[in-house]
This record gives sequence, C-alpha cells and structure tokens, in this order.
Amino acid sequence: MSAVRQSFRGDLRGEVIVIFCGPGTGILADLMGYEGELGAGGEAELLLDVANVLSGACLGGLLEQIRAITGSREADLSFSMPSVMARHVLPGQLIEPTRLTWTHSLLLEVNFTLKSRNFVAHLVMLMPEEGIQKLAGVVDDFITSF
Amino acid sequence: MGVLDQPQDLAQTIVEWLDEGIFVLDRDYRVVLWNNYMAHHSGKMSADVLGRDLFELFPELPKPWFSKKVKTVFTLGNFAFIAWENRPYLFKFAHNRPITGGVEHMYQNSMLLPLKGAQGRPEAVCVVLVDATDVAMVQGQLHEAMRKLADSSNRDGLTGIYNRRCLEERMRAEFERAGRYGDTFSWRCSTWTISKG
Repeated sequence: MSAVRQSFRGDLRGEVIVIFCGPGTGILADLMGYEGELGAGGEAELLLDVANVLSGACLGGLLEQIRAITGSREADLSFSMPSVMARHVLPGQLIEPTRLTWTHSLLLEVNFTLKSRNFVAHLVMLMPEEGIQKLAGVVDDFITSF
Repeated sequence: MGVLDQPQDLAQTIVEWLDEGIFVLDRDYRVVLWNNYMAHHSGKMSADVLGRDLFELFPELPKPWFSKKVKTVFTLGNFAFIAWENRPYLFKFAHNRPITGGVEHMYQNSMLLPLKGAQGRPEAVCVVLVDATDVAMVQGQLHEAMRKLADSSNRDGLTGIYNRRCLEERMRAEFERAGRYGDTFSWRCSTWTISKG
C-alpha cells in the first residue's frame, strides 16, 4: 500500500492521510486523464492529485455542514502541499507509534471503493485536541437544537 | 494620503513585490494578474501579458497537463499542487544561484487556489509559484551521500570488492525471492587467491 499526507488549517486543523490499497495507481491514470506511460514521477503525482481531490472534497463537505449549522459563511480552510508518506509498504510500517508526540486525536475515516476499477482508498482525518474546538462547538450547537 | 491609509494598495504592493511568483488566470487561461516576480523571471512585463492567453505567451508550457490542473480547481473549487519532485518546474526560469548553484534551472513548487466570487463559485485561479531550488539541491546531496554510504558499507575498504555483509544480504534476498516464486536456485562459490609477487 501507499499513502499520502496533507495538512489543513483554518477552522479545523489537522492532517489527512489517504491510504491507497490494491494493485496500483495505473488503473486511476485514465480516470484522471493522464495519457501515456506513467513514470515514477508521474505515478507519485497521480497519487498526490487523487489524495488532494479526495481530501479537498471530504473536508469541503465537512466545512459546508459547519457553515449550514452555524449559518456563517466565514468558516474556511486552507491546505498545504500534499506529500508522499510511503510507497509500497506494509500497513504496520506506515506510522511508528513510538515516534508520535500526541496521545489523543479525533479520527474520521472515509472509505472509497471503485468496484469497476478494483480501487480502494481509505481517507483518515486526524485532528489534535486543540484543532477541533470549532467542530466540537458546532456539534454541541447541533445537538442542543433538537 | 499614505500607503497605510489604503489597505487595498498595500495588499497590491505586497503581491507585486513578494519573493514568490503570483499570477491569476480566468476560465479561458487569460492572464488577469502577473506580479513583478513573474515579470522579472519570465522577461515579460505585466502590461504585455494581461488579457492574453497563457499558452500563447508560453508555448513551451505543457498545455494538456497544466490546463487539466487548472480545470480541476475551477470544477471542484479545490486547491491543487505541483511538486518539484514530480515536475521540476512549471516555467523554466533561471534560479537565483547562478554562481554557487550547480543546477540548470529553478526548481518550483506551485499551488493553485480558487478565487471565489460572491456565489461561492471559482471565477479565477491564482497560481503561487515558489522557488524550491535550495531544497532540491540539498535533497540531491542527501541522496548522493546515502548512495555513497550504502556503497561503502558493502565494500571492503582495502580492495574495494564486495564484503561479507553484502554477500550475506544478497544471499538472503535471493533465498527469499526463490521462496516467493517457488524456484530452486544454486549458489556457486569459488575462492580465488591473487598474490602479487
């Protein structure tokens, strides 16, 4: 499996990790409109592009909901450049638990499957405690509104 | 009235003089903004490029690839990124280390951001181009050092021939490979003694 990470900041702060499973990214190349053979650079670029689109869509959706609940158009996010975390490694090799500096984090997971293309991706959003104050406030408001 | 009384002018001046390339494209790839950094590096002044098609101004740009990037931003309202590791540069600019660089062109990272109108729809795309030459150079040196280190740990210091460590590692890899593919393999070992008289 391969993984791409990307950080986001603004009303939410954290990192998105998109984990690609399955045979490879070649099957996505035509979907994204890449022509010809993918070199090593092209394959990495494809991973980054797909991860960027998925994380932008997921966080964009989350942001839309925050805006809908709070009725404010102010909520916003910006993204940093995505980077490849690992290529063709085993799941256990992705993160080394002993090197983490945090103990608690909010985890949101979204799974993507394209059945026709044998493509599976897991999108994992990890937000540190101080990065989710806005989200916690919105969820509280939402619950009390019932 | 000074510059501090006009925040708009202030922002414009900063955009012009920021040490990063900033330009804006509309849906037809026409240039809407072109800051000094872009002008100085491309040799094309703002007045000469505004309102013109980017691909006509720079025929060397890989149009199918770059227009796809721009289109994603318009369609999804998303950010998009171009990393120097995948594409060394968007525009072939000279880098700012002509003497000490030892590289041929500027390595660039680019970020494409949607500029949304009142309706929340992207009306233009802003491209921010950052010089990544220093990072690329350091990374190149790091890779070279890693390669040398790997090579020297596999060779005998005196003779330069592969050492026992390398042999054992290679044997293990071949053994595992044979196991994976269900092959049989043979290992031939011969001892040569070369003595200089």
